[in-house]
Amino acid sequence: MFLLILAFKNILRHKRRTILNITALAINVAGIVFFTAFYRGRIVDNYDRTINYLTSHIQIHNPLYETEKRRLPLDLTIKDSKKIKNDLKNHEWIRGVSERVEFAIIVNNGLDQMPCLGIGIQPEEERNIGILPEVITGGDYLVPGEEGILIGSKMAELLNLKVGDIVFLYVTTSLNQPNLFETEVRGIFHYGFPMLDKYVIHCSYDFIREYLNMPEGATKMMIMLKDRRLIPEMMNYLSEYNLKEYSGELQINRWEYFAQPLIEDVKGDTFFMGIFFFILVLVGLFGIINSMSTSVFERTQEIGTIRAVGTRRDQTVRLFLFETLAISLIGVMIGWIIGFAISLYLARAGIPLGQAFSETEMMAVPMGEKLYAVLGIWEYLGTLLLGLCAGLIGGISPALRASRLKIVDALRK
Amino acid sequence: MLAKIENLVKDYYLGKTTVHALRELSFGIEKGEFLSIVGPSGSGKTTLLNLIGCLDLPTKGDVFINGKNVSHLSDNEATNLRLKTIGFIFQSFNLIPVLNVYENIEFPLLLLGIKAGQRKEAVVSMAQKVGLHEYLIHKPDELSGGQRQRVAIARALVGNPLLVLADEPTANLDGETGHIIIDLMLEMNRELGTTFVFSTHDEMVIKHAQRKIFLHDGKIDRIEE
Repeated sequence: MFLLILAFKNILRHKRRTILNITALAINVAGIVFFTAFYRGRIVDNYDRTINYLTSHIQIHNPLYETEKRRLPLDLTIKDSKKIKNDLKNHEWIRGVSERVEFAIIVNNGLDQMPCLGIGIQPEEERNIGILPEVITGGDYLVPGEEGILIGSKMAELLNLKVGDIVFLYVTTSLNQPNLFETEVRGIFHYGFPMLDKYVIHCSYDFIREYLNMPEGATKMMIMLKDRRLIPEMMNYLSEYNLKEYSGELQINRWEYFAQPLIEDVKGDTFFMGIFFFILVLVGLFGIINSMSTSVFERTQEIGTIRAVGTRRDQTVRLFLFETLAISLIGVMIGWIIGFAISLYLARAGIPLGQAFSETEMMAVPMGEKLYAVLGIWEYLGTLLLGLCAGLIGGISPALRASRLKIVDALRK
Repeated sequence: MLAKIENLVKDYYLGKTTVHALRELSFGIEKGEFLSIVGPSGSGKTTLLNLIGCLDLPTKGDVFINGKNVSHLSDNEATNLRLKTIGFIFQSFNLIPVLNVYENIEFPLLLLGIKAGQRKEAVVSMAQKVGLHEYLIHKPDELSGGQRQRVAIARALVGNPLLVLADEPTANLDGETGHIIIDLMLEMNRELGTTFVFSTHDEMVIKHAQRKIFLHDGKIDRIEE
């Protein structure tokens, strides 16, 4: 205990040096805490938007669909999609199940035309799948079986379309026959994600099936769970269901399967974040080593005295380690407070990305206009561990040097 | 006899040169003695005190304290012996600057693991003996040289050591203060019965010693009672 007290008194001996060390560590820790919360916020945002806008949690396909998906095949359907939906829709973990048809379509306003992706959706079921009903900025949402399409805001701008305008739609049926028909623009949506706002139209599943001359079943089924953490259990359940009911012939994939670029992007970013954090810790570490080495040099005679008076080598080591650990702990705690305050502010206020940034077509991942930090516990535990390691590693060499000083030589300094 | 020095040799090596700091020294130290090691600079006084105090190892020969050969103890054994048996007083006081007078005196007792109540009693009593009971909360840099050396004496004596080794305890003090410090050491020697061995080359200080061992070039020149 008295070594601890002496250590505390020693760290107050050179206040400016101690403050500098603590400040350096605190900035490092605050940086790690804040960047981790911010980075987590980015991942959570990217994942949530990808799931809500594009993939849902789990998808079911015809097993041959994935290899042919580039041509958006209408013949490779899940024949029993209606039965599967009924089997699953009341499951306790499931928020919504919906059948979809995805097809290639050309939208023509009478003067200009745009090729895009058509998605036939079940309007009521889709309310539990994504956020389409919430991003309608003009007109109405779809009604099951009724005609009309929803177009994105960017497409509306490019084709000069507004709600109530008539458009000509050109599709290729499942029998590979061209089909041209006209319908009304029922509503305009705005996701803030150019890939959807510019290149996608939505229409009623039952309405489009007739024009596509579709065989039985949907081309894909979207399953949204009540919680993302339930995906592994649900996948197990669906695998058993698939084996039992369909001899394993359905292809069931988690959302990550459809978001490989994002997952790879996150892996790469995580690696670079790790390197960045390592450099931050290294800077703090060298600060401590430098400071403690100077301290040992300055206190050589004092080390000689306490050794002469009867302090053992291990007690001398502990004295110096206590000093570095105390500096580290104080630095970590101040860093926590600063990092937490910044993270909390950014969790509430967010960092504005600007519309131009979030809606650039370069973005492969849907992003909002603001990015919010997400608070966690691991960065605090991690920085505590890193701080303690920095204190120990930074202190051990000077501490050992102090304990190994020859007493008579030390006293002569 | 408290300590016995037999054929003590200490050589230092400076590059290819061997410096013979002590050459075959032999003498004894009686319990309760007030002994002075006298000699000019470089005569081997500090080296001798370092070897008696187990701060260094001899090249040859033996040091016995209380009948036990302490010349080749391990670092931990030597530290333990110093803590329990030997007190040190240094020329430049060597107090711990971040600790106040009370804490400096208390330091050896903390290392000895003495309980808080006993520690307080011992520290206050020792501070009174050396005349510093009014300065207990002062830091060393708030004290005069003489007061600092009193703290060092109190620290050396507080653990009731058998032997106190003082390396030129008056060298950094003016003449009058030096006398006061030697008088204080003498008083402690008489009052507590602690054996004092101190080195000096100050003629005024030497006269206080009961016995004087004169060193020259690492050898005993003469011994005066």
